[in-house]
Amino acid sequence: MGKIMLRGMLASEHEATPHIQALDETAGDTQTTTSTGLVDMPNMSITFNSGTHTVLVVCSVTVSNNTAGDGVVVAVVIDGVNRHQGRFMAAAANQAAVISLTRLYGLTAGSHTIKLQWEVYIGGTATVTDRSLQVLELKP
Amino acid sequence: MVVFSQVITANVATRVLARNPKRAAYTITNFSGYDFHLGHDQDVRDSGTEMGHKLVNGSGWEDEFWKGEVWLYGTTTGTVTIDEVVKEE
Repeated sequence: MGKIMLRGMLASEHEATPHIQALDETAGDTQTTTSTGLVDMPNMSITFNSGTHTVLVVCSVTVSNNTAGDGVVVAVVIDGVNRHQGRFMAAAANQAAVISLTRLYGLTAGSHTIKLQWEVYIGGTATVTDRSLQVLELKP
Repeated sequence: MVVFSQVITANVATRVLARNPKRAAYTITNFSGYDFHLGHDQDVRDSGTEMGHKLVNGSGWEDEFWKGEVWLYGTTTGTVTIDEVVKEE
């Protein structure tokens, strides 16, 4: 039998220099927006120090729009730059869906802020409830 | 599901996806070096009342459920990658 070794999982062998820095932000309160331009999603921002490493950013947000045919856009913004967006269009009023965005990004050493922004698509009022933002800094 | 991946050269008024009732999702990855604006079932512009959704250089866009046309508008010709997930027969 072969032996599978997952480098990031061997915590006992690397306690002095962990290979992953994990950061997490979650919220479940109800928030709304009618903005047609991207604005910060409340309580979805992480500021941290990293090395020159790759980070895995994972977000999952439950959104809806009160108007059929209108939608919601969620964006991952890193240091003020919009890096990834996902859209949900409501087929019926108040139809809810989960937007999940997962992607790897390269960062240079220093302080970084990763946050979620959102806006309505076309119009209506967008609502977000359960949501999470996770950042995993992968250290070689 | 089948994934069709294609690299498309876009500039002004480029329809990058035709209507496809079997589409489950699509993504656009823009590392063209230029910004684009995105339109759904219509051509768009980068400003004014017909301004599309901005897809900046170095970013991505993903969209479930949309089965209509997808348009891109850019003032400079650039290439983007489009992955379309289509339900099989």
